[in-house]
Amino acid sequence: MSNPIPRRSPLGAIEPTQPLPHEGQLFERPFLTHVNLRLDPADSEALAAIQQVLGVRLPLTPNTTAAGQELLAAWLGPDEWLLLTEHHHPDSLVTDLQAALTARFASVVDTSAGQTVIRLSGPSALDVLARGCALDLHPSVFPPGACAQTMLARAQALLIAVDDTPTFDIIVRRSFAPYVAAWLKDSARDFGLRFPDSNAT
Amino acid sequence: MSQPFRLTQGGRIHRDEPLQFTFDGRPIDAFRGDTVASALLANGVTLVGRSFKYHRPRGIVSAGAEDPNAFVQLGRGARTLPNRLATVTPATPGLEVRHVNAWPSLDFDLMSAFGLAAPFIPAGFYYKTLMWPRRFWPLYEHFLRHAAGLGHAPDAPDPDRYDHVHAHCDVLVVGAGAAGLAAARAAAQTGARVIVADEQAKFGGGLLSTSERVDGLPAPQWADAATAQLSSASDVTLLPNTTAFGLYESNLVLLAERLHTDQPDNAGAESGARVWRVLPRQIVLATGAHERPLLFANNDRPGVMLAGAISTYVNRYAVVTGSRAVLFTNNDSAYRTALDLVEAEVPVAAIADVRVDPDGILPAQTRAQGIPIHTGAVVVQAHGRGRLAAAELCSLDGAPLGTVECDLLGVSGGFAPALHLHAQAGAPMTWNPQIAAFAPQPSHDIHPAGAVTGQLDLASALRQGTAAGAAAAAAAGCSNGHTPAAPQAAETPTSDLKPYWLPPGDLARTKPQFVDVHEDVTLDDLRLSLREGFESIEHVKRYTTLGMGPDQGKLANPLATGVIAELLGRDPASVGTPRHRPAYSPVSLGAIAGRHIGELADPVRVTPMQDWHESAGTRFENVGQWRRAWYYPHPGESMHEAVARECLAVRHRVGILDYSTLGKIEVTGPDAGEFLDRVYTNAWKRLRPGRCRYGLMLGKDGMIFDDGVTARLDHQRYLMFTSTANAAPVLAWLEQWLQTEWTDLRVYLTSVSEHWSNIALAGPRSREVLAAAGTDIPLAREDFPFMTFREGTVAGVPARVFRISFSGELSYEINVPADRARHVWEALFDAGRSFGITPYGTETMHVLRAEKGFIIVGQETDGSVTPEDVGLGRLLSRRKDFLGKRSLSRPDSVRPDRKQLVGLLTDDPAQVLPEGGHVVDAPGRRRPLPMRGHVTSSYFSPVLGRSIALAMVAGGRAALGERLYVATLDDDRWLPARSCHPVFYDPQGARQHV
Amino acid sequence: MLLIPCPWCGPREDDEFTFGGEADIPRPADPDALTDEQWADYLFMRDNRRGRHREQWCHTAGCRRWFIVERDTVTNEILGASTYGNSS
Repeated sequence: MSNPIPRRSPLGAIEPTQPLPHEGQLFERPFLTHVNLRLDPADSEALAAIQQVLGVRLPLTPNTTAAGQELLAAWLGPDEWLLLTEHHHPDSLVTDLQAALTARFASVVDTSAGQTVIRLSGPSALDVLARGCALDLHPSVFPPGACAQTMLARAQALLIAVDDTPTFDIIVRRSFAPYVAAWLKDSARDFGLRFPDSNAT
Repeated sequence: MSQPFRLTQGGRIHRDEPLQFTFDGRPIDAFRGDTVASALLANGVTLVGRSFKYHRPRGIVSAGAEDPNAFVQLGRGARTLPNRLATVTPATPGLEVRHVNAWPSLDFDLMSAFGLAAPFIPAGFYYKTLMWPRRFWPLYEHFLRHAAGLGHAPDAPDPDRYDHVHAHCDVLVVGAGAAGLAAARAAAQTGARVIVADEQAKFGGGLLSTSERVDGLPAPQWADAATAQLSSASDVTLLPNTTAFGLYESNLVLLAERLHTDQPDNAGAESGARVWRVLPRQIVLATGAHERPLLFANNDRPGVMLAGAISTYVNRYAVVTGSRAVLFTNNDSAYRTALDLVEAEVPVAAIADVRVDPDGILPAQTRAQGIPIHTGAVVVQAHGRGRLAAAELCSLDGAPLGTVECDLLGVSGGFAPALHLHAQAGAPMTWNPQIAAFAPQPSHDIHPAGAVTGQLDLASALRQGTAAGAAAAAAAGCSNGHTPAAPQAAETPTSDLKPYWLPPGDLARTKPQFVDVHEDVTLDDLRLSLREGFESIEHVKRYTTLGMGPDQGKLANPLATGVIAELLGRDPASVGTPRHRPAYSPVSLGAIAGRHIGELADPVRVTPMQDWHESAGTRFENVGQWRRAWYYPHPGESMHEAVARECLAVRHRVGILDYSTLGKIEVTGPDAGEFLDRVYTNAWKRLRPGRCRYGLMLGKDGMIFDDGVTARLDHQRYLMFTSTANAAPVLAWLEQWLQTEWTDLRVYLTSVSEHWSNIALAGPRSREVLAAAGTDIPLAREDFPFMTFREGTVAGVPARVFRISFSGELSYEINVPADRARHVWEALFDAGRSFGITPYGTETMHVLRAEKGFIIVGQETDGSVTPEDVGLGRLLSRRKDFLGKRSLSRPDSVRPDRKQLVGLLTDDPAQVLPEGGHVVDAPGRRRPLPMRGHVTSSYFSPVLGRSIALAMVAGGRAALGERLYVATLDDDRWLPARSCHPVFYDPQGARQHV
Repeated sequence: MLLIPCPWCGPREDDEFTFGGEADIPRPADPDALTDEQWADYLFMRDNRRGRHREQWCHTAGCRRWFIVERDTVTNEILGASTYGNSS
């Protein structure tokens, strides 16, 4: 289903977006599909049904992610996951999952408009985050594929280690995004990073 | 200046890099590598401050962080820093240094008259004397504040950058002296992640001021080599200029790193600081020891220094701190100072050694130099005004041994381990009689090494450091199987220390003898404290202010333990030491705040319509972290006028409100209805899909916790609205029940507060506006009645539209995904222009709901209010249990005189009652007046053309119509009013059903 | 600062958590069967124990799970953490 009304990200991006500034080191990844999924990890039939739809086995190990061709599943809790993708429209993903989970005890909720992703990448990424994140993000402890919900400065955030550049995806709630972006810009200033101008905030 | 006290050679200073700074405006020549203190001493500056209470002249005592006197003001203007220690501050070009505690000037101190007039103000003087008569206290206070200046704060916003950084490591080494460097080397070679912090600009600690050798190299050279080796290791972080100032639970260690970024206008001072929050797996404490001062009369005279500091100034800074010295000791270390002074060609006129028969190598070497050594002897008084001139000696049995001229008196009462961090951690420490001091005991994650253990010699420090570093790395899970060899130094056999606390006999009565030089606490003060019954060392501390200065009693507390023990005739181990608390050294407030200032002080949460509100000239109010539109004044409009216009627009036409901040929780699962039945007071299972219901949530105590509308989305799914402030607490509360007690209920909760924005259309024309904006939802009254919701599109965006009302008017709350909410808002606004649509904010929302008598949780309620109290007893189901139900039949919950919600109408319709105003039966002079209740909400109601108020009044519901009065705070008037039913407008509720 | 061992996420700093008071005080199955005194005891009376204390914490900024921590109220040493339900 195509939607004629352009979406706006909390950091000022408007659909259709320009191609992502991949050379950048700090930028928003707006308009991804975010779906919150809850089900009983002991329900193997539900897990199998989900894997059928997503092509990804839900990670059962705390603070890890599982990446498929088109979708990433991040562990949020023992019965809760975030599904993150740029390939599925939220409505179709929710519909497909709900269909697969018919008559099972599960919850599938679209949260795409309620949060956004900020990507931080580059050799100084660890130093930038260490200014406001109490977690040990050293690659020996937090390798690519790890995720953690924690505090970044004074906002809750989900951190995902993407690669060993290192690159991190920082998922924050919509209303906190301007604060987190301002904080990251301020922290990154010491390391010569900045948000590209296409992001208004 | 010519630096008359600088030796022509030696030292660890860079003579090829001269520099100049100023002290009280006077130029001071120095070299790179100097501290401010060493440069002042090189220039013969002996007076650096005046004491806190008596304004006695004071000089530099030490060469480190323990100094009680060397507090100075650095820099100027917005960047000035008070209470910095000259002894650890590097001398930098252009640095402005000022004294902190003399008035009006250092050399002519008016306040020393205080000392002359009342030579020794006893401890407790302020409390006992100056508090009476009370009316004079402001006068005293003015005088004392002036007298007790401890530097001044900047008078403008600090332009420097302060920062916090979180760090993790396997081994944190605190202190980079011999033991610390050896430990860091041993830990680093296992591949462990290591952080090394030292308060000085240069690593090496005592190695930099000793003539001993390590592994065949002069000690300073070995320190340089070890530091260079560490800095090239990959997972080792070296932090000079960094003080570990606090150790907390879970072994969190806070470090303050002073940054020197050479700002042009900071007058050479450090600019900015960074607090490191380090969570190490293991800690090596190599914090060294502080030499202990000794008691004698006038032991605070400039020229009296710690013996070890004299050696440090000679060896590290090539500075002699006097021209003729006397030494007073109870251990061997002062003999090394004697030898250092001889080497520097400063005559040592006498050594007084408490011990009868010192037999170590160092005393023998000193004796061989022909220096007169008085054994079994003590210094009992220092002579000289402004500066030391002579020392009076005496034998231990009180026989005079003559007065020896000197301008330098080195004292050593032994060494007390700097166990502050260890003690802050609550780790065990024990009295070590060999050193007459408390020493730390190792724990499973804190490894003391070097002088902090009480072992003072270099060879031991290197051995212990190596062992501690290896053990810490192994305990952190890092080991490569072999323990490195410890660096080697010559063993120096020493003779034992003899504890010495009080001068013999009546000589202990000579005044004044300072136990805490910074706080001007004397031996007499301790005696007075004990005499008045304050015997616990914590009581002594509070009675006398012992150890309460910015030096934290580093020198005073170890001395006080022994002195109190002797005065009480008790074992020092049982006397103990005052509790060590962070911060070990002063930390600037900027460093503590870090970057949590200005726009980053706290998150500011905004809705998708924020830009629109801003361009509409909205005034905002902060609701928790949310920034909410408060009211929308037209140019020239007052708040009152704007709110009145907004209110009437909603009552007569249509208004639009951004209500996106409400909490929203999806409640999903086969037991969702049962769950809602348990947490809400009313019944939910039979609510049909598509319908909404208002619910009250109570705490276990039966008091209102939250309220809001919940809609049944489908058979197994509900959407719950919570109040803005309670969005997170309600979710946590509900999860707590599901996870800890009702684990059999199959219910999942997911917050969708941020996904759905909420736009409220309210007013008689709102149906027309919604239709004009374009929707596929049938809006006719019979298709879409009150308290139902519909799904469809609004302005092309998928929406859930709820026909609920917080204003009492026909109203739609339109939920749309936040990423298209701005579009829908604008579409509704555009569609509403021809209907006179008016944006309204939280103030108007409050007025409208008060006109309807709707409560706001947290305004009408305060955690002590039941549903019956606010007239919502009809929402209490009798057929089922719910959280809080049992509490509603407790005797206190059914008292007839509980405060109940009523309306108040003032006699003067223009009079708006003050919110929070006390409600009483009748005015009166007798105080306190019996209070009937308080005003909870109060507004001018534009539609009624008069003021209205809601109040909680004891027994108020049974006495509606009664005469009451409300007190005003500002002009002590009593405002007459009558109570009434709390619904002021449209009591039948007809308007919301149209 | 307390480092609190979330049974799922591992040790995290205390600002990620919400304190939930003393543990092991289940809601009475039939509140109406209790006297006012017994009900007040359930509502208000806590042991305020010196030493080992079982208490509830929620990893609010993390996995949102409630769990039980055993803590020494004198030393603040955390002696263990356990989940609700049958998992360890």
